[in-house]
Amino acid sequence: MPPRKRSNEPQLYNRLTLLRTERGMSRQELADAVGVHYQTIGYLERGEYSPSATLALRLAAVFGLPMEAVFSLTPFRTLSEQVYGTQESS
Amino acid sequence: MSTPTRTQRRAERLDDPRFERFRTLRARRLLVAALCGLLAVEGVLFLFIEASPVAVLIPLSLVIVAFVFCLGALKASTRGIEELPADALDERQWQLRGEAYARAYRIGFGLLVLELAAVVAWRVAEWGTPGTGVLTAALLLPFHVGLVLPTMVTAWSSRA
Repeated sequence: MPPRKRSNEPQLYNRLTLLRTERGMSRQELADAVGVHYQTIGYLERGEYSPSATLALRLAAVFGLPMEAVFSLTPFRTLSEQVYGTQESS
Repeated sequence: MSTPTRTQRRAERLDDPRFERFRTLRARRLLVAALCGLLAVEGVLFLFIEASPVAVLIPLSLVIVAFVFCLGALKASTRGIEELPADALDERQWQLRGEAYARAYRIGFGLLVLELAAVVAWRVAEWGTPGTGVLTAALLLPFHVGLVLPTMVTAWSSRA
């Protein structure tokens, strides 16, 4: 069963998996850094849970980035698109 | 380093990775079904307690032991979200608990209405004074259901 979302709730995109992997962090380490359960990091990464503003700011602070670099209401461009300027085939 | 509080110890115990096999959706729902079955068996056993108390006492004891183990496994499967205080939970777990309690309240209210309807039907049909077994079941079963309903609802949720 997919997670239930309120019909008017917009999808919140994030770069958590990319940023966490880039920094060699485990889910547990990131969870400890922001004070949540490691399972919650999984839900956030899969876009199945939208964080509060406080948690989003804490996550951005761990990566030393502004919040809009980690979370967005529009999909992020893929890494290959940014580096090579190629579009992902859909 | 400060020693962990009772709540922290309880949270750690319920989050033990050894219980990971109970945390799949299928395992959680099977445990909920098993607990429902045990509640039903308990109800049936109470109906016969008046006729042969000793004969019922043995299976009833077994049901109670199974009930305790089943509830323990169920609590471990939800990591105790429904029973731990707010400071032991994060915001997602806190939200999940709120939803589970709201759903459990609606289900519990529905069950209570059904029980009251059964009482009214009993009176209307003039089936006479119910026996000790029926009275015990009518008092104990709602208590047991109320005790385990939030855990069962949390475990049934696909997001626990």
